[in-house]
Amino acid sequence: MKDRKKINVAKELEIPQGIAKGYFMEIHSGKEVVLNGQCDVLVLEDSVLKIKIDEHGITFHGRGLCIDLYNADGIIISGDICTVELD
Amino acid sequence: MVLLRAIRKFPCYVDFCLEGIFCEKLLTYAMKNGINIMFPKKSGYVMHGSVLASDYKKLRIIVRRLGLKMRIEKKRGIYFTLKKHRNKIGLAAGAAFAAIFVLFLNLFVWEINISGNREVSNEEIIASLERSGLKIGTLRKSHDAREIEWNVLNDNKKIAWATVNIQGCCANVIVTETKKETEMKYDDDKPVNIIAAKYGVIRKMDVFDGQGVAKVGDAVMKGDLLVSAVFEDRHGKLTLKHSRARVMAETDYKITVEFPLKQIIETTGESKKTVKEIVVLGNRIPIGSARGCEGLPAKKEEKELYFLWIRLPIKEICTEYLSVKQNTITYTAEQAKDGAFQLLEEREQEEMKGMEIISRKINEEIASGKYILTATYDCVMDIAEEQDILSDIPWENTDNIS
Repeated sequence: MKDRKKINVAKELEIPQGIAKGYFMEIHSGKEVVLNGQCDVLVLEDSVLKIKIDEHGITFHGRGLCIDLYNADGIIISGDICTVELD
Repeated sequence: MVLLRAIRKFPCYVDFCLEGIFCEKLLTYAMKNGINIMFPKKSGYVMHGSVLASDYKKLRIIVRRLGLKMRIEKKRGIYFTLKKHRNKIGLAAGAAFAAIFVLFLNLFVWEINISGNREVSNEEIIASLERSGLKIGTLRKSHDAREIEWNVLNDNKKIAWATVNIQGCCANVIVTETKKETEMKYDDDKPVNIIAAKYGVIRKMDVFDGQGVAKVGDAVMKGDLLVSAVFEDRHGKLTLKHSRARVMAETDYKITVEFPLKQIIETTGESKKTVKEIVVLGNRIPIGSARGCEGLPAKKEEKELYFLWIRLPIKEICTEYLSVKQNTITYTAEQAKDGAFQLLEEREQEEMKGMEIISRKINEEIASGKYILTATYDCVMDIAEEQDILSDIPWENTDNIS
Protein backbone atom coordinates (compact mmCIF):
# COMPACT_ATOMS: atom_id res chain seq x y z
CA MET A 1 0.00 0.00 0.00
CA LYS A 2 2.79 2.35 1.02
CA ASP A 3 4.81 1.44 -2.10
CA ARG A 4 1.81 2.16 -4.35
CA LYS A 5 1.38 5.54 -2.65
CA LYS A 6 5.06 6.28 -3.24
CA ILE A 7 4.74 5.38 -6.91
CA ASN A 8 1.68 7.60 -7.28
CA VAL A 9 3.49 10.52 -5.67
CA ALA A 10 6.48 9.89 -7.95
CA LYS A 11 4.14 9.94 -10.98
CA GLU A 12 2.61 13.23 -9.85
CA LEU A 13 6.03 14.75 -9.40
CA GLU A 14 7.18 13.30 -12.77
CA ILE A 15 10.10 11.50 -11.18
CA PRO A 16 11.46 8.67 -13.37
CA GLN A 17 10.12 5.24 -12.49
CA GLY A 18 12.28 3.10 -10.27
CA ILE A 19 13.73 5.92 -8.19
CA ALA A 20 10.99 5.90 -5.55
CA LYS A 21 11.05 2.13 -5.25
CA GLY A 22 13.19 -0.51 -6.84
CA TYR A 23 16.75 -1.62 -7.17
CA PHE A 24 19.92 -0.44 -8.90
CA MET A 25 22.36 -2.62 -10.67
CA GLU A 26 25.85 -1.65 -11.85
CA ILE A 27 28.00 -3.82 -14.02
CA HIS A 28 31.72 -3.02 -13.96
CA SER A 29 33.52 -4.17 -17.11
CA GLY A 30 31.71 -7.49 -17.07
CA LYS A 31 33.77 -8.51 -14.04
CA GLU A 32 31.66 -7.30 -11.16
CA VAL A 33 28.01 -6.59 -10.48
CA VAL A 34 26.88 -4.35 -7.64
CA LEU A 35 23.20 -4.65 -6.87
CA ASN A 36 21.55 -2.40 -4.30
CA GLY A 37 18.47 -3.78 -2.64
CA GLN A 38 17.49 -6.77 -0.56
CA CYS A 39 17.53 -9.94 -2.66
CA ASP A 40 17.38 -13.71 -2.30
CA VAL A 41 19.91 -16.08 -3.78
CA LEU A 42 18.12 -18.89 -5.63
CA VAL A 43 20.93 -20.64 -7.48
CA LEU A 44 24.63 -20.47 -6.75
CA GLU A 45 26.92 -22.33 -9.09
CA ASP A 46 30.21 -21.69 -10.78
CA SER A 47 28.61 -20.76 -14.10
CA VAL A 48 25.10 -19.67 -13.06
CA LEU A 49 23.94 -17.33 -10.32
CA LYS A 50 20.28 -16.51 -9.96
CA ILE A 51 18.79 -13.99 -7.59
CA LYS A 52 15.30 -12.75 -6.86
CA ILE A 53 14.66 -9.09 -6.20
CA ASP A 54 11.35 -7.18 -6.19
CA GLU A 55 9.44 -9.97 -7.90
CA HIS A 56 12.07 -10.05 -10.64
CA GLY A 57 14.46 -12.89 -11.28
CA ILE A 58 17.95 -11.99 -12.51
CA THR A 59 20.21 -14.73 -13.85
CA PHE A 60 23.92 -14.22 -14.42
CA HIS A 61 25.79 -16.59 -16.69
CA GLY A 62 29.56 -16.72 -16.86
CA ARG A 63 32.65 -18.32 -15.39
CA GLY A 64 33.93 -18.37 -11.82
CA LEU A 65 30.92 -16.54 -10.41
CA CYS A 66 31.08 -15.94 -6.67
CA ILE A 67 29.53 -13.73 -4.04
CA ASP A 68 31.92 -11.21 -2.53
CA LEU A 69 29.43 -9.48 -0.26
CA TYR A 70 25.87 -10.32 0.61
CA ASN A 71 23.80 -8.47 3.16
CA ALA A 72 20.49 -6.67 3.58
CA ASP A 73 21.71 -3.66 1.56
CA GLY A 74 22.70 -5.58 -1.54
CA ILE A 75 24.98 -8.08 -3.16
CA ILE A 76 28.32 -7.92 -4.97
CA ILE A 77 28.97 -10.64 -7.51
CA SER A 78 32.32 -11.12 -9.21
CA GLY A 79 33.61 -13.32 -12.02
CA ASP A 80 33.53 -13.31 -15.83
CA ILE A 81 29.93 -12.34 -16.56
CA CYS A 82 28.77 -13.21 -20.07
CA THR A 83 24.96 -12.90 -19.92
CA VAL A 84 22.43 -11.19 -17.69
CA GLU A 85 18.81 -12.32 -17.98
CA LEU A 86 15.88 -10.48 -16.47
CA ASP A 87 12.67 -12.50 -15.96
CA MET B 1 38.96 -6.80 -2.95
CA VAL B 2 42.26 -8.37 -1.94
CA LEU B 3 42.43 -5.94 0.99
CA LEU B 4 38.85 -6.75 1.94
CA ARG B 5 39.66 -10.47 1.91
CA ALA B 6 42.78 -9.87 4.04
CA ILE B 7 40.84 -7.80 6.60
CA ARG B 8 38.17 -10.46 6.80
CA LYS B 9 40.72 -13.14 7.58
CA PHE B 10 42.08 -11.33 10.62
CA PRO B 11 39.29 -12.03 13.16
CA CYS B 12 38.47 -15.58 14.23
CA TYR B 13 36.27 -17.40 11.77
CA VAL B 14 35.14 -20.88 10.91
CA ASP B 15 35.27 -22.60 7.53
CA PHE B 16 32.25 -24.84 7.11
CA CYS B 17 30.94 -27.38 4.66
CA LEU B 18 27.19 -27.63 4.00
CA GLU B 19 25.41 -30.57 2.40
CA GLY B 20 21.90 -30.47 0.95
CA ILE B 21 19.90 -29.91 -2.21
CA PHE B 22 18.99 -26.26 -1.64
CA CYS B 23 22.02 -24.90 0.10
CA GLU B 24 21.38 -21.44 -1.38
CA LYS B 25 18.45 -21.05 1.01
CA LEU B 26 20.91 -20.76 3.84
CA LEU B 27 22.43 -17.63 2.30
CA THR B 28 19.09 -15.84 2.26
CA TYR B 29 18.14 -16.90 5.77
CA ALA B 30 21.53 -16.03 7.16
CA MET B 31 21.38 -12.59 5.51
CA LYS B 32 17.93 -11.96 7.01
CA ASN B 33 19.31 -12.90 10.48
CA GLY B 34 22.27 -10.57 10.10
CA ILE B 35 24.85 -13.35 9.61
CA ASN B 36 27.45 -12.66 7.00
CA ILE B 37 28.58 -15.76 5.11
CA MET B 38 31.91 -15.06 3.41
CA PHE B 39 33.02 -16.48 0.05
CA PRO B 40 30.23 -19.01 -0.46
CA LYS B 41 31.12 -21.55 -3.15
CA LYS B 42 28.84 -24.39 -4.27
CA SER B 43 29.70 -27.45 -6.27
CA GLY B 44 26.97 -30.06 -6.69
CA TYR B 45 25.16 -30.58 -3.41
CA VAL B 46 28.02 -29.25 -1.28
CA MET B 47 28.61 -25.62 -0.38
CA HIS B 48 31.73 -24.22 1.31
CA GLY B 49 31.91 -20.91 3.11
CA SER B 50 33.24 -19.02 6.10
CA VAL B 51 31.49 -17.36 8.99
CA LEU B 52 32.61 -15.44 12.04
CA ALA B 53 33.17 -17.73 14.99
CA SER B 54 30.70 -15.70 17.05
CA ASP B 55 27.94 -16.24 14.42
CA TYR B 56 28.51 -19.96 14.00
CA LYS B 57 26.07 -21.04 16.72
CA LYS B 58 23.27 -18.89 15.26
CA LEU B 59 24.01 -20.33 11.82
CA ARG B 60 23.81 -23.89 13.13
CA ILE B 61 20.24 -23.26 14.39
CA ILE B 62 19.20 -22.05 10.92
CA VAL B 63 20.85 -25.05 9.30
CA ARG B 64 18.87 -27.42 11.53
CA ARG B 65 15.60 -25.66 10.64
CA LEU B 66 16.37 -26.01 6.94
CA GLY B 67 17.23 -29.69 7.33
CA LEU B 68 20.74 -29.37 6.02
CA LYS B 69 23.95 -30.94 7.29
CA MET B 70 26.84 -28.76 8.34
CA ARG B 71 30.32 -29.55 9.62
CA ILE B 72 33.37 -27.50 10.51
CA GLU B 73 36.32 -27.78 8.15
CA LYS B 74 38.78 -25.46 9.79
CA LYS B 75 39.00 -22.93 12.59
CA ARG B 76 41.17 -19.90 11.92
CA GLY B 77 42.26 -16.84 13.91
CA ILE B 78 44.40 -15.73 16.83
CA TYR B 79 41.99 -17.07 19.47
CA PHE B 80 42.05 -20.60 18.02
CA THR B 81 45.85 -20.53 17.56
CA LEU B 82 46.40 -19.50 21.19
CA LYS B 83 43.85 -22.05 22.38
CA LYS B 84 45.67 -24.74 20.45
CA HIS B 85 48.95 -23.92 22.19
CA ARG B 86 47.52 -23.21 25.66
CA ASN B 87 49.33 -26.16 27.22
CA LYS B 88 52.75 -25.10 25.93
CA ILE B 89 54.15 -23.19 28.91
CA GLY B 90 57.53 -22.61 27.26
CA LEU B 91 55.93 -20.70 24.41
CA ALA B 92 54.00 -18.44 26.79
CA ALA B 93 57.10 -17.96 28.95
CA GLY B 94 59.18 -17.13 25.87
CA ALA B 95 56.62 -14.61 24.66
CA ALA B 96 56.46 -13.02 28.12
CA PHE B 97 60.26 -12.96 28.37
CA ALA B 98 60.55 -11.38 24.91
CA ALA B 99 58.02 -8.72 25.86
CA ILE B 100 59.86 -7.96 29.14
CA PHE B 101 63.22 -7.95 27.35
CA VAL B 102 61.98 -5.48 24.74
CA LEU B 103 60.52 -3.27 27.47
CA PHE B 104 63.81 -3.47 29.40
CA LEU B 105 65.88 -2.54 26.34
CA ASN B 106 63.53 0.37 25.77
CA LEU B 107 64.94 2.00 28.91
CA PHE B 108 68.34 2.67 27.29
CA VAL B 109 69.76 5.00 24.67
CA TRP B 110 70.68 3.02 21.55
CA GLU B 111 71.34 5.68 18.98
CA ILE B 112 72.88 9.15 18.94
CA ASN B 113 72.16 11.30 15.90
CA ILE B 114 74.19 14.46 15.44
CA SER B 115 73.22 17.11 12.93
CA GLY B 116 74.04 20.72 12.11
CA ASN B 117 77.83 20.44 12.47
CA ARG B 118 80.24 21.33 9.66
CA GLU B 119 83.64 22.15 11.13
CA VAL B 120 83.29 20.40 14.47
CA SER B 121 83.55 16.66 13.87
CA ASN B 122 81.06 14.08 15.10
CA GLU B 123 83.83 12.47 17.17
CA GLU B 124 84.45 15.71 19.10
CA ILE B 125 80.76 16.08 19.88
CA ILE B 126 80.44 12.41 20.86
CA ALA B 127 83.48 12.78 23.17
CA SER B 128 81.85 15.82 24.73
CA LEU B 129 78.57 13.94 25.17
CA GLU B 130 80.42 11.03 26.75
CA ARG B 131 82.04 13.38 29.26
CA SER B 132 78.51 14.50 30.17
CA GLY B 133 77.45 10.88 30.59
CA LEU B 134 75.42 10.47 27.41
CA LYS B 135 76.58 7.44 25.49
CA ILE B 136 75.05 4.38 23.89
CA GLY B 137 73.82 1.87 26.44
CA THR B 138 73.10 4.34 29.24
CA LEU B 139 69.75 4.71 30.95
CA ARG B 140 67.73 7.33 29.10
CA LYS B 141 65.97 8.59 32.22
CA SER B 142 69.30 9.31 33.93
CA HIS B 143 70.18 12.17 31.54
CA ASP B 144 69.42 15.80 32.05
CA ALA B 145 69.22 17.17 28.52
CA ARG B 146 69.70 20.79 29.59
CA GLU B 147 72.85 19.94 31.55
CA ILE B 148 74.28 18.01 28.58
CA GLU B 149 73.57 20.95 26.28
CA TRP B 150 75.39 23.26 28.68
CA ASN B 151 78.40 20.93 28.89
CA VAL B 152 78.61 20.59 25.09
CA LEU B 153 78.59 24.37 24.78
CA ASN B 154 81.32 24.72 27.38
CA ASP B 155 83.49 21.99 25.84
CA ASN B 156 83.42 23.31 22.29
CA LYS B 157 83.91 27.00 21.80
CA LYS B 158 83.05 26.58 18.13
CA ILE B 159 79.50 25.57 19.04
CA ALA B 160 77.16 28.47 19.59
CA TRP B 161 74.02 26.53 20.37
CA ALA B 162 73.16 22.93 21.09
CA THR B 163 69.99 21.05 21.83
CA VAL B 164 69.60 17.46 23.02
CA ASN B 165 66.28 15.65 22.57
CA ILE B 166 65.95 12.13 23.88
CA GLN B 167 63.08 10.58 21.96
CA GLY B 168 62.50 6.95 22.75
CA CYS B 169 65.81 5.13 22.45
CA CYS B 170 67.30 7.79 20.22
CA ALA B 171 69.18 10.92 21.33
CA ASN B 172 69.03 13.65 18.71
CA VAL B 173 71.73 16.30 19.09
CA ILE B 174 71.37 19.41 16.97
CA VAL B 175 74.19 21.96 17.03
CA THR B 176 74.84 25.33 15.47
CA GLU B 177 78.41 26.42 14.98
CA THR B 178 79.77 29.89 15.70
CA LYS B 179 80.52 32.25 12.86
CA LYS B 180 84.03 33.56 12.46
CA GLU B 181 84.59 37.03 13.87
CA THR B 182 85.02 39.71 11.28
CA GLU B 183 88.52 41.18 11.04
CA MET B 184 87.29 44.71 11.68
CA LYS B 185 86.26 43.85 15.24
CA TYR B 186 89.00 45.11 17.50
CA ASP B 187 89.92 44.40 21.04
CA ASP B 188 89.46 47.75 22.73
CA ASP B 189 89.75 46.62 26.29
CA LYS B 190 93.02 48.42 27.07
CA PRO B 191 94.96 51.49 25.94
CA VAL B 192 97.98 50.68 23.78
CA ASN B 193 100.72 52.51 21.90
CA ILE B 194 101.98 51.50 18.49
CA ILE B 195 105.74 50.98 18.36
CA ALA B 196 108.13 49.82 15.66
CA ALA B 197 108.66 46.06 15.64
CA LYS B 198 111.77 46.50 13.42
CA TYR B 199 114.04 49.22 12.23
CA GLY B 200 113.28 50.81 8.86
CA VAL B 201 112.23 53.85 6.86
CA ILE B 202 108.52 54.61 6.94
CA ARG B 203 106.97 54.60 3.46
CA LYS B 204 103.27 54.74 4.34
CA MET B 205 101.20 55.29 7.49
CA ASP B 206 97.50 54.58 8.01
CA VAL B 207 96.50 55.70 11.52
CA PHE B 208 92.98 54.48 12.41
CA ASP B 209 93.00 55.47 16.06
CA GLY B 210 95.44 57.36 18.28
CA GLN B 211 97.87 60.24 17.71
CA GLY B 212 100.50 59.75 14.97
CA VAL B 213 104.04 60.58 16.22
CA ALA B 214 106.28 59.41 13.36
CA LYS B 215 105.95 60.67 9.80
CA VAL B 216 106.42 59.19 6.34
CA GLY B 217 110.13 59.28 5.46
CA ASP B 218 111.28 58.99 9.09
CA ALA B 219 113.90 56.37 9.94
CA VAL B 220 112.88 54.46 13.03
CA MET B 221 114.63 51.95 15.26
CA LYS B 222 113.07 48.94 16.94
CA GLY B 223 110.87 50.07 19.84
CA ASP B 224 110.40 53.65 18.62
CA LEU B 225 106.97 55.14 19.26
CA LEU B 226 104.96 55.44 16.05
CA VAL B 227 101.41 56.15 17.23
CA SER B 228 100.65 57.39 20.72
CA ALA B 229 97.64 56.29 22.73
CA VAL B 230 97.52 59.68 24.44
CA PHE B 231 95.12 61.81 22.48
CA GLU B 232 94.86 65.55 23.11
CA ASP B 233 91.69 67.29 21.97
CA ARG B 234 91.40 70.98 21.01
CA HIS B 235 90.61 71.95 24.61
CA GLY B 236 93.86 70.38 25.76
CA LYS B 237 92.13 67.47 27.49
CA LEU B 238 94.09 64.21 27.45
CA THR B 239 92.41 60.85 26.88
CA LEU B 240 93.85 57.41 26.26
CA LYS B 241 92.91 55.30 23.27
CA HIS B 242 93.53 51.85 21.91
CA SER B 243 95.77 52.89 19.01
CA ARG B 244 95.44 51.20 15.71
CA ALA B 245 97.61 51.80 12.67
CA ARG B 246 99.29 50.18 9.70
CA VAL B 247 102.84 51.41 9.27
CA MET B 248 104.52 50.21 6.08
CA ALA B 249 108.30 50.64 6.32
CA GLU B 250 111.24 49.65 4.15
CA THR B 251 113.27 47.16 6.10
CA ASP B 252 114.97 43.81 5.74
CA TYR B 253 113.75 40.28 6.42
CA LYS B 254 115.67 37.05 6.76
CA ILE B 255 114.66 33.46 6.13
CA THR B 256 116.95 30.49 6.68
CA VAL B 257 116.06 27.01 5.45
CA GLU B 258 117.99 23.79 5.90
CA PHE B 259 117.74 20.70 3.73
CA PRO B 260 119.54 17.59 5.08
CA LEU B 261 121.61 15.74 2.46
CA LYS B 262 120.74 12.44 4.16
CA GLN B 263 117.18 11.84 5.14
CA ILE B 264 115.39 8.92 6.75
CA ILE B 265 111.90 8.66 5.34
CA GLU B 266 109.32 6.38 6.89
CA THR B 267 106.84 4.77 4.54
CA THR B 268 103.86 2.65 5.46
CA GLY B 269 103.79 -0.70 3.72
CA GLU B 270 101.50 -3.68 3.80
CA SER B 271 99.17 -4.42 6.66
CA LYS B 272 100.89 -6.23 9.50
CA LYS B 273 97.92 -7.22 11.60
CA THR B 274 94.17 -6.68 11.69
CA VAL B 275 92.40 -6.54 15.02
CA LYS B 276 88.62 -6.57 15.28
CA GLU B 277 86.51 -5.22 18.08
CA ILE B 278 82.79 -5.51 18.63
CA VAL B 279 80.97 -2.76 20.50
CA VAL B 280 77.86 -4.17 22.17
CA LEU B 281 75.69 -2.01 24.41
CA GLY B 282 78.52 0.54 24.57
CA ASN B 283 81.09 -2.04 25.74
CA ARG B 284 84.10 -2.96 23.60
CA ILE B 285 84.86 -6.63 23.16
CA PRO B 286 88.24 -7.15 21.43
CA ILE B 287 88.62 -10.13 19.11
CA GLY B 288 92.35 -10.78 18.92
CA SER B 289 95.28 -8.95 20.44
CA ALA B 290 97.28 -5.98 19.15
CA ARG B 291 100.47 -7.06 20.94
CA GLY B 292 103.60 -6.04 19.08
CA CYS B 293 101.83 -3.38 17.05
CA GLU B 294 102.03 -0.56 19.60
CA GLY B 295 103.09 2.72 18.05
CA LEU B 296 102.49 1.57 14.48
CA PRO B 297 100.27 3.61 12.18
CA ALA B 298 96.78 2.20 12.02
CA LYS B 299 93.67 2.51 9.91
CA LYS B 300 90.35 2.32 11.72
CA GLU B 301 87.14 1.32 10.05
CA GLU B 302 83.79 1.34 11.80
CA LYS B 303 80.95 -0.75 10.48
CA GLU B 304 77.42 -0.58 11.78
CA LEU B 305 75.41 -3.77 11.67
CA TYR B 306 71.90 -3.88 10.31
CA PHE B 307 69.06 -6.35 10.54
CA LEU B 308 67.19 -5.79 7.27
CA TRP B 309 66.89 -1.99 7.40
CA ILE B 310 67.00 -1.64 11.21
CA ARG B 311 70.28 -0.44 12.69
CA LEU B 312 71.42 -2.64 15.55
CA PRO B 313 73.19 -1.30 18.66
CA ILE B 314 76.21 -3.34 17.62
CA LYS B 315 79.30 -1.93 15.91
CA GLU B 316 82.29 -3.64 14.39
CA ILE B 317 85.59 -1.76 14.58
CA CYS B 318 88.33 -3.08 12.36
CA THR B 319 91.84 -1.75 13.11
CA GLU B 320 94.48 -2.47 10.50
CA TYR B 321 98.08 -1.97 11.69
CA LEU B 322 100.49 -1.10 8.90
CA SER B 323 104.16 -2.03 8.78
CA VAL B 324 106.67 0.85 8.59
CA LYS B 325 109.72 0.86 6.36
CA GLN B 326 112.61 3.26 6.96
CA ASN B 327 114.39 4.37 3.81
CA THR B 328 117.62 6.38 3.94
CA ILE B 329 117.87 8.72 1.00
CA THR B 330 121.09 10.53 0.09
CA TYR B 331 120.68 13.64 -2.02
CA THR B 332 123.23 15.22 -4.31
CA ALA B 333 124.05 18.91 -3.85
CA GLU B 334 121.85 19.79 -6.86
CA GLN B 335 118.91 17.81 -5.55
CA ALA B 336 119.37 19.33 -2.09
CA LYS B 337 119.48 22.81 -3.63
CA ASP B 338 116.18 22.21 -5.44
CA GLY B 339 114.64 20.92 -2.24
CA ALA B 340 115.94 23.89 -0.24
CA PHE B 341 114.54 26.36 -2.80
CA GLN B 342 111.18 24.61 -2.63
CA LEU B 343 111.19 24.96 1.16
CA LEU B 344 112.18 28.62 0.81
CA GLU B 345 109.27 29.32 -1.51
CA GLU B 346 106.89 27.69 0.92
CA ARG B 347 108.27 29.83 3.77
CA GLU B 348 107.99 32.98 1.64
CA GLN B 349 104.34 32.27 0.85
CA GLU B 350 103.65 31.55 4.48
CA GLU B 351 105.55 34.37 6.22
CA MET B 352 105.70 37.20 3.70
CA LYS B 353 102.02 37.59 2.92
CA GLY B 354 101.21 41.26 2.29
CA MET B 355 104.88 42.28 2.04
CA GLU B 356 106.31 44.01 -0.98
CA ILE B 357 109.70 42.50 -1.93
CA ILE B 358 112.16 45.00 -3.37
CA SER B 359 115.21 42.75 -3.67
CA ARG B 360 116.40 39.32 -2.53
CA LYS B 361 119.94 38.09 -1.78
CA ILE B 362 120.55 34.39 -1.32
CA ASN B 363 123.55 32.81 0.40
CA GLU B 364 124.06 29.08 -0.17
CA GLU B 365 126.37 26.80 1.86
CA ILE B 366 126.76 23.17 2.83
CA ALA B 367 127.55 22.65 6.51
CA SER B 368 127.27 19.67 8.85
CA GLY B 369 125.49 17.53 6.25
CA LYS B 370 122.89 20.17 5.42
CA TYR B 371 122.28 22.45 2.50
CA ILE B 372 121.62 25.84 4.07
CA LEU B 373 119.93 28.69 2.21
CA THR B 374 119.88 32.12 3.82
CA ALA B 375 117.67 34.63 2.00
CA THR B 376 117.86 38.33 2.92
CA TYR B 377 115.09 40.52 1.58
CA ASP B 378 114.76 44.27 1.20
CA CYS B 379 111.05 44.69 1.55
CA VAL B 380 108.22 46.97 2.60
CA MET B 381 106.27 45.47 5.50
CA ASP B 382 103.98 46.43 8.34
CA ILE B 383 106.16 47.13 11.40
CA ALA B 384 103.39 48.30 13.73
CA GLU B 385 103.30 46.50 17.09
CA GLU B 386 100.97 47.12 19.99
CA GLN B 387 102.46 47.91 23.40
CA ASP B 388 100.43 48.17 26.60
CA ILE B 389 100.76 51.35 28.63
CA LEU B 390 100.05 52.03 32.26
CA SER B 391 98.67 55.46 33.06
CA ASP B 392 96.26 57.23 35.39
CA ILE B 393 94.73 59.23 32.55
CA PRO B 394 91.11 58.23 31.88
CA TRP B 395 90.89 56.24 28.67
CA GLU B 396 88.21 56.03 26.06
CA ASN B 397 86.78 52.62 25.38
CA THR B 398 85.55 52.62 21.81
CA ASP B 399 84.11 49.12 21.88
CA ASN B 400 80.67 50.36 21.01
CA ILE B 401 82.08 52.38 18.09
CA SER B 402 83.82 49.47 16.43
